[in-house]
Amino acid sequence: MSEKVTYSEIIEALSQKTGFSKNKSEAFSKALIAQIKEELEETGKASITNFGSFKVKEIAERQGQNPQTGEPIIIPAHKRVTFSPYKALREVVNAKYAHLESELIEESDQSVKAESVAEQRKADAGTEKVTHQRKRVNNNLLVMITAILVVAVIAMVSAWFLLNTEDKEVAQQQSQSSVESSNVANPLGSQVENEGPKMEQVEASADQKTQQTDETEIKEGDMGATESEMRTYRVKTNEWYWVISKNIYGKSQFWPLLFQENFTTDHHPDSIAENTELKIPELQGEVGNLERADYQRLFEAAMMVAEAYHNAGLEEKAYEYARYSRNWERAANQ
Amino acid sequence: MTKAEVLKQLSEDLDLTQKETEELYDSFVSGLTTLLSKNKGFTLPGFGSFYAEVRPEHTSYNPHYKQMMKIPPKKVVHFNQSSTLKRELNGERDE
Repeated sequence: MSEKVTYSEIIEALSQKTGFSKNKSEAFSKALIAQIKEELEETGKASITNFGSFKVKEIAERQGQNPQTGEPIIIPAHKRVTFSPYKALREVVNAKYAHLESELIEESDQSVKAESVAEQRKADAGTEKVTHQRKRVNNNLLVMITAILVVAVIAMVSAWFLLNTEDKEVAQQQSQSSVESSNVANPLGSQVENEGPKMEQVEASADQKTQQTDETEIKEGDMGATESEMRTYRVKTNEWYWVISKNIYGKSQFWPLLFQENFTTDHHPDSIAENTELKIPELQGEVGNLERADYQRLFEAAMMVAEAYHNAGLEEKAYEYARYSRNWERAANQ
Repeated sequence: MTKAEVLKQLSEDLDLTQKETEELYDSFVSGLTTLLSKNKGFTLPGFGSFYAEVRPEHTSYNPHYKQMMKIPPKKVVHFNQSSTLKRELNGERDE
């Protein structure tokens, strides 16, 4: 955390800089703060030029937990002031990191291709003087290759998973999700199709992988006649996934499993109707001691929730759950 | 409210010319900006506190590409409202 500067130090610096007395400087900053407060109370927003804007945000009533006892409590609706820095401030503060850009991740545990990409990237970093345009092309390439790698990973993991489970339901879901993600990858593929012969190669290998999974699915489908009946749960008034998940699994974090089992990504993840019959997916391991398949499932469920939030227009929550899913995925690969 | 309006109001309150007020205003803002860029936090009494912090490199879901991306480190400014401000905002409504 950053060290603090006291208010009186600020005032002193201000009076030194402008030549006004300390009294005058303090009167000024007091008046400015009062002015902003007044404006916030009247109109709900205020701004300081070249610094940032303040807004009064209405926080809706929500259910929370007492951090000490875990007992559910209702946090009443309230207002709070949010701050969003202006570009001038953002740029000055972030000057040190301004040159960095976000980049796509490649799965490092997969095959030679990933290595070759990494090498390529190293080479790029070595020469440094890559034009902007070439970077774009490289980025496209990376998008493509990463998409294919992701498909490959999912295909292999689901194949592994299929061989390890007797639960037909799960098998179907897994195959669905793998098909979905290959759908995601394909439009990307068609975009960059005329990138050269290398791309075609990679595509072909991805196709092979998906074929493999198709075969395993068929095999598994024949075997999976031992379908057991699923537990169900009837939603009571004012119950949310969190609470239900806590009741069933003892852990509220597992609620994406319920969502994944019962709804699609078109469903709003914050809404649940009373008296809905929820199917309850069983865990492979214990709550305190999850198996790899469980982590994998949590990863996919959280990913799905993220997509549902994205579809519902709630980007912040989508990011949040994408982050969770990443954590589950990491746990699954350990 | 525009900056000009704020300056006019302030200059009346403080009994200064608008030019002097603008000088104070600009120095105040640039001073606060410099503080934050030097990683120093501060508190405006009765209003709230500001601090700058480096958000470390992390991976995050990019909805556009529908996959995870590596987000580079970034220094960002945070604001915490003071308890006085909170009470003033919410207290009025309860009464």
